[in-house]
Amino acid sequence: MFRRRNRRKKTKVVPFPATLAGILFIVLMWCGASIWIDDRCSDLKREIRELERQKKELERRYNAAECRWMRLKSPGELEQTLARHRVNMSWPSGDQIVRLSEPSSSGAAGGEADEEVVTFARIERLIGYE
Amino acid sequence: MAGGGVLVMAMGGLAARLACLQLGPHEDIRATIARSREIRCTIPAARGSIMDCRGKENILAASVTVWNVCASPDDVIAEGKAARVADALAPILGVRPEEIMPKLLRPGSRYAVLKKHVQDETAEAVRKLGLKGVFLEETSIRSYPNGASLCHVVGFVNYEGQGGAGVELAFDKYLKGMPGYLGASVDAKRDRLYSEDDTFIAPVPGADVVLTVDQNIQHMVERALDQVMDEHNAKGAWAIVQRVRTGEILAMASRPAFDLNRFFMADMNAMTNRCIGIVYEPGSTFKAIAISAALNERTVTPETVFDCENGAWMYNGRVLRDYHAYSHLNVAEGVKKSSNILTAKVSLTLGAERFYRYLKSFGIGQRTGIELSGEESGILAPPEKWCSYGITRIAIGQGVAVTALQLIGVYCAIANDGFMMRPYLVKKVVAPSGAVIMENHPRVVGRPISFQTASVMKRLLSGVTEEGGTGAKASLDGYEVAGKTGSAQKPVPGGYSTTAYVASFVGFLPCDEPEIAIIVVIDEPQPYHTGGVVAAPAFKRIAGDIVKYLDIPPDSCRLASAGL
Repeated sequence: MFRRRNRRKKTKVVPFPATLAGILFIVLMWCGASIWIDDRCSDLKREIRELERQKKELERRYNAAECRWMRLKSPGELEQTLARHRVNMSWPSGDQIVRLSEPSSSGAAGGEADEEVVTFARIERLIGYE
Repeated sequence: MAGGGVLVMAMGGLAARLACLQLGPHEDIRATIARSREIRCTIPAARGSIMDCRGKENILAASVTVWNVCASPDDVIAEGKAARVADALAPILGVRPEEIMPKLLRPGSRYAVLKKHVQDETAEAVRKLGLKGVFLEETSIRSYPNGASLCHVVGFVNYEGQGGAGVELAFDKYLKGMPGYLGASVDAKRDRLYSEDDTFIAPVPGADVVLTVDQNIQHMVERALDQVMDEHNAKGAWAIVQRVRTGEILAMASRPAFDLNRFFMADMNAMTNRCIGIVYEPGSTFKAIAISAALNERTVTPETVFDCENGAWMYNGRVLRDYHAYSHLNVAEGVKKSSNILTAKVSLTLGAERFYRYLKSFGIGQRTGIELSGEESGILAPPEKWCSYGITRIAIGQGVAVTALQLIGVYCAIANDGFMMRPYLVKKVVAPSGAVIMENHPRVVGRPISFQTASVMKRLLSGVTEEGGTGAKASLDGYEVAGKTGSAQKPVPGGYSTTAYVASFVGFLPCDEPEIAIIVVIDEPQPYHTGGVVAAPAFKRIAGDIVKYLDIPPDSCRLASAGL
């Protein structure tokens, strides 16, 4: 007669210490976090360097453009540009100048409503000047 | 088995060597390795800008980044493409291929500069070619957008980045800023490793210098001087525009001039700022001092009449002549007609000591203290060194030497009711943060004459530009101009030249409420040499433009109201 094999094998279990497992887990997490942080720092470093490079580039281009603009609008350059386009500009003569002044405040408030006077200014024309 | 044993022995040997290097007495090797992983460098500071009175709107000097086109001849030769590289670069750099080839054909060399200081567009075009062995090097230069304008005031920066002349030199300590420092570690790729132990000191950018000069007024003055130089074939010309009430210099121009962007090509003659660096005998423009002093001391009045000896006067064994012969003139007429004899006699009423005191109080023989270097003090001997007729010659502007800045200061004092103001060119110095580090304010440095004397002198000097006066060509429609002409013979060994003159005109306007003073000096004009013919029209041209630009209202006008 065959003996029935005992299907319930009795496996020998070696107990793993929980403390050690916990420590290993913490160490693994620590390593993972370090690697992640290091990777993140490298990314940030690259980003910072790139932004600094862009800032420097923009500053450089701004300074160059500003210098170019200053040269273009210097009085000598403007004069040459006007001459090139045959634009002759001259100062106005005396009779072309109209000087405006503020009206005096004493007569302004309400009492002279009948006068059609522009209240913000009164035109004074220069005469006797040629 | 044998193979395994060899491997184990090799690994063991390497491990032993590693342990020996790390732990053994090899400090020098470890130190060399540590040094190779560190970087220590200074970080250059950006140089500040120089601006005119409007600040950032008008920049006169600024630092810009440009590129040097460089090559590694070794790499180019190794590729065997030197000729192709030269042909490709030549049109972009604006040179011929034959000029590039010698720089490329240098075996053993890893660095050659093909073209310096190219702009962004050129650099980009070179970059796009993608030539092996050709690379760009970033560098910084000083750029002067206005070229030759204001060259003597702004100055330039030398190749070491230090101010070499003008404001660049005088204010170098503000403009240069402070370099920073970086001490850090790098990895194998020479990338910086950020660490708490790093030493980083940020550079402090240079401060900006704001001048009192207006670049538009400067341009008007330079244009007038260029015209005078052409019309009268002069050797040199210089002019100053100054605010009477404050002492601010609105323009300071000197011809010949030079382009600041090519300062290395200029000669000493062009680099000299004649407004402060050249002394000359002022001639008749100097008479205002003797007349003012005598009026202030009340030894004469405008109505005092002097015998002008019909144009030739013998005094202490020497003859003094007038340009035109006059019999009798009062002081007012003598100023108008610029009589040498009258002025000499006026000076005698003062005496040498008193006259010398007035000369000193007007700043003659002393530097004004303006911010630029190279200012001359002029020549004025003390009275004990004057010869027997010396006072008569000094009174008419001979035997004494001044700078244009000193002389305009005299006329500004007369215009400013007797108050002498310190002239200055720099309005303020501003840090990058906006804080004002230094600011100049108007300062009274003396009062040689009283208000009453100044008022009388203004009247007398306004007569010079009236009909019949020597300075009639300086008159300006609608404005009363006060001033004086000068036509001084240049001294030569043994006496004075009969062909070389210094023509000048100095004046201020409007006469009653003066705002600006202008001096124009022309060196050896030909063929005409008198101040009235050569310098006075230039004064009028400059003054005519400035009064419109600054909107100085004309003297004589009547206002009428018009209703709308």
